[in-house]
Amino acid sequence: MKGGKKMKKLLSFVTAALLFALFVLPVGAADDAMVRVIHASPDAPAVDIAVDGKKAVSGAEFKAVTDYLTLPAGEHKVEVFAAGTTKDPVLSQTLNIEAGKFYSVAAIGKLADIKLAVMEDNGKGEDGKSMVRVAHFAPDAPAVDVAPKGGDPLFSDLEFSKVSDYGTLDAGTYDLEVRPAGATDVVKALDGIKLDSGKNYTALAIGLLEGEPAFDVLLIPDGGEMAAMPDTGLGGTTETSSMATTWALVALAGAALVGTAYVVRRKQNA
Amino acid sequence: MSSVVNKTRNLLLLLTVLLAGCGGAEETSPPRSVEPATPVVDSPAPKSDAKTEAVETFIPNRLKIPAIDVNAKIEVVGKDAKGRMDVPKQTDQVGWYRYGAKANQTGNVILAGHLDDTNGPAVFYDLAKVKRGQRIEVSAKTGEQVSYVVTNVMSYPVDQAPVGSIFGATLAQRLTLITCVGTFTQSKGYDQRLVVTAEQEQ
Repeated sequence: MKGGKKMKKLLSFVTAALLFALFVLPVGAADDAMVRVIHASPDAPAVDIAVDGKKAVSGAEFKAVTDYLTLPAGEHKVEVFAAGTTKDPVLSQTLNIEAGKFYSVAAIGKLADIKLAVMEDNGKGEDGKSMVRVAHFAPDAPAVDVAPKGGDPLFSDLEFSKVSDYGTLDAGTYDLEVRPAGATDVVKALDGIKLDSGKNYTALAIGLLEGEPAFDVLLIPDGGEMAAMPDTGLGGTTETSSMATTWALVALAGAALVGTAYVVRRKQNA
Repeated sequence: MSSVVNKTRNLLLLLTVLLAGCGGAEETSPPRSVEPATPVVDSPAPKSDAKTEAVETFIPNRLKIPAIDVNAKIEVVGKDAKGRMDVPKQTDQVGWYRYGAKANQTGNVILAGHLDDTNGPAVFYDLAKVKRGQRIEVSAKTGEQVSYVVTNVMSYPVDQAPVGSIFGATLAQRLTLITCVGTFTQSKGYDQRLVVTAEQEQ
């Protein structure tokens, strides 16, 4: 089947990517994964989030999107508490994360049945393009399509708690709209959505269609081009370095001597 | 009158064709609403009239930190062979990470500068003296300028810097300045990094 072929292709791509990653992962960041947290539960209070028992985020309110935390790859216990409390977490879940990858962990649903949705974010951008996906985190909204104004859906029939694949668009500014799946009426117009070249985004549909906080769509940037810290010092203002420079000079002088000797020898041989 | 009818019929026809074209998009609705007056776009093209953008984003060209008398040219840098953010070629200049944000854009504008070169102090020698609340200015070749206010000054062991929040996407409009601090060894260079964080003034 078509799907099988695609899968194979994908697998070989993944293998290649892994092999590639083995050789070019930045020093220092090689063992880390990047994780951010999104508060998308419309009726939940502000929350504190602990990772492995240590507070990592405090006072995140509905609609909050944290920066990416840097965590070692592997398993981590993520606990969500009502802000200011440290007992009886609202949510507790083990997260398994891989080195070099980006994740968004969203608390979704109404408080009564709150849960975590874990998404892997696409880190890498492509010049001139922008990759976009849609996450449906509005608990009382029907399945939706997202389309350019009046056009065919780019993302279709997305239900609550589901996240679409990324689609690639040319960088630029778009007028989009959210519609009930298969219908033409507009739930939410998204005018002037700006997609920057080389950046990836998630459009988060959150809030409530009926009641407060009202249904809204947040466009958040994803991933990033990771690097290790730059090497921004050559030691010229330290004690050790003047010593080192001296030794380097001695070594150079030594090398010069050897070089000269070699040339002299060759001349003699000739 | 008849032309209106014709128009409507044509639109309906068009709609039917388009619906059929998008591969089984439910034959549920014979004309749900009979006034889809907007022309149907088959593939979205970016709008040329970017009406929402009043202020342009720009590639930073000059950095000023009045509090420590820094007025430096900015060059564009990427990553080095070891996967580190690259450094400016001139030690009296500052490097702007081309994969991060531009100035005036949502995201993190990342600048790195040397603490010292092999002979003595370089552009960011005094960066550790910067304090919260002080202003930093970034300008374009063409003169646009944005200001940032320092919110945090921290140093980290080189392998424990918060690279996720530095290089990863953020909803903030932030400027991050990086230089070396700590102990220098010939084999490993400095063992810490100083990270100055500033938020854009609105």
